[in-house]
Amino acid sequence: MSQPAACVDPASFRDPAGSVYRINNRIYRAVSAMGAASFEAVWQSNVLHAMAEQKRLVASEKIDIAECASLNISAEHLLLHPTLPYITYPYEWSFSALRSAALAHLDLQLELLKRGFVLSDASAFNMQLDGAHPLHIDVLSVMPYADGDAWGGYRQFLQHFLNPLVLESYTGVSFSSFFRASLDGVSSQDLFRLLPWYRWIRPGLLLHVAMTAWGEQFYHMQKKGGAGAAPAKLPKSRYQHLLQHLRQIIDGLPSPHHRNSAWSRYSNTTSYSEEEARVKKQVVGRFVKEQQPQLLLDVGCNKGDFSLHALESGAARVVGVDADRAAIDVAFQRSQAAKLAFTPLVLDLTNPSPSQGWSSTERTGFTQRIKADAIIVLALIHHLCIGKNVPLAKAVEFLVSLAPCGIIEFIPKSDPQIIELLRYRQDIFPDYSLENFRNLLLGHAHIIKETTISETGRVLFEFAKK
Amino acid sequence: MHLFFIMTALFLVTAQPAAAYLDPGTGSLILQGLIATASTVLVVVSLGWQSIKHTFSRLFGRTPPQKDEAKKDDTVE
Repeated sequence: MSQPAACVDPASFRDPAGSVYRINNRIYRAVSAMGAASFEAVWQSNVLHAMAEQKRLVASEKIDIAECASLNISAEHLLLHPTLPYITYPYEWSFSALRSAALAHLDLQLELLKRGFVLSDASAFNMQLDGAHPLHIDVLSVMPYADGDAWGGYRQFLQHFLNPLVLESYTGVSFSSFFRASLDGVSSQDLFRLLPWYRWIRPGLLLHVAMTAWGEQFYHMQKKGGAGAAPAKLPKSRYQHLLQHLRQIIDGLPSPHHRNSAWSRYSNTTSYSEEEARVKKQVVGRFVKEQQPQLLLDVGCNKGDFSLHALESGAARVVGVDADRAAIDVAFQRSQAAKLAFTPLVLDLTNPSPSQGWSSTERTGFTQRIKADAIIVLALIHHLCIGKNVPLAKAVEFLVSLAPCGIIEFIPKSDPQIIELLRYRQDIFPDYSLENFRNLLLGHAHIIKETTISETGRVLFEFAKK
Repeated sequence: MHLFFIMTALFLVTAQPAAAYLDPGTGSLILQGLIATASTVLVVVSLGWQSIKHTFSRLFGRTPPQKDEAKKDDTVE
């Protein structure tokens, strides 16, 4: 029986144990014949439910196998998972988000190991953020543990979790570019080449990263000799200590954002007064209360001030994006501390995450993946048009394409921020004006309301697409 | 006959469950036993060090209010 190809999740093909299908916005997991034995052992032990209860693993419900016919799927077992409101990728996460995911992954492994199970892999793409709470979503990664089994996911764990975190923590260089380009994180050999010598004095790093890098190097050199050394048996207690040690290292990494970025100081030193900020919050609050969006996209969210306000005003979930990693890191920690339905992501609007991976479809591009019911674009348009030279017409077109309705703030040239941006530059932006913005916006949507919020002439435009 | 023994030996030695699809990268498996042993030492030492530090701070007067403040910080997630 052939499945309608369009329904299979484009990233679900490497594990022969099963596949994920999206049908009518429901997520099904078909367990194949190859994965059946392992799955049955896992299912009978009830460990999947226990882990779902502890909010470490996505919930699964077994579906009557007879459904397969109507769904046009062939499977030995069929599971239904709750549909996540959105998918995010590790290269969109800030340091704290990846660290949080790494710790959650290790904690899940430690819990599973106590019950006699392990994870077959350690891909960061198997972790998803529910607000700021990391959740493992690949149920078929769980498999029975036999005492002595080596940890097959160790190398992947280093590449997807430890190495990127160490890289950013010790060098300040963001792991995003590596992850986005390679989809396989940061290799131990690359990290070994990138860290300055004095960083290696930490025994933990020397142990995992350096030894793995040398091990890989060594193996390459020995490969021609045939089978080479066989993997040793790993007693359970050693396995646990290995996981605990990694947890200790990751938990203890210094945050890369000690130095305040220009942007994270931004919310304290904006160019409008308290009264103006209050009016802005009022307008946004009223808009959200009226629209009650299931998913609001806060474009240029910085530390998340308005995202939090949107949640308070009735948005069910908020995804915030900003190009400033330090600000997003703060936003993530805020969301985590208060357990909010707010996922802040690092994203450069002029270069959002593209569709890539196998067949250029394995990992979906940001604009295709995140479908918001409403957007707010505050204090951003001048950074796109003046700062990044995006023509106003293109900026308006792009922003309006992101959601059916929203609020966009227009910042006029008279505003101190733009005066600052143009201080050492020629003003080559004759089209950048309030009238032109209004006309361009009218070309794509109805303008519901205009509110001037500052003496400098900033205006909030509430729009709704035709 | 030789082949039979070699295959059996390899099977017994590799102990990888058949269901694991991921390429573990043999380079990292070779040293894993060694790495795990070293991890054990480091974890045990660090836990020991934590308890020494704890004992010392109890003996040499973290005054109660300070200790409560530290506790409060820990419980804020």
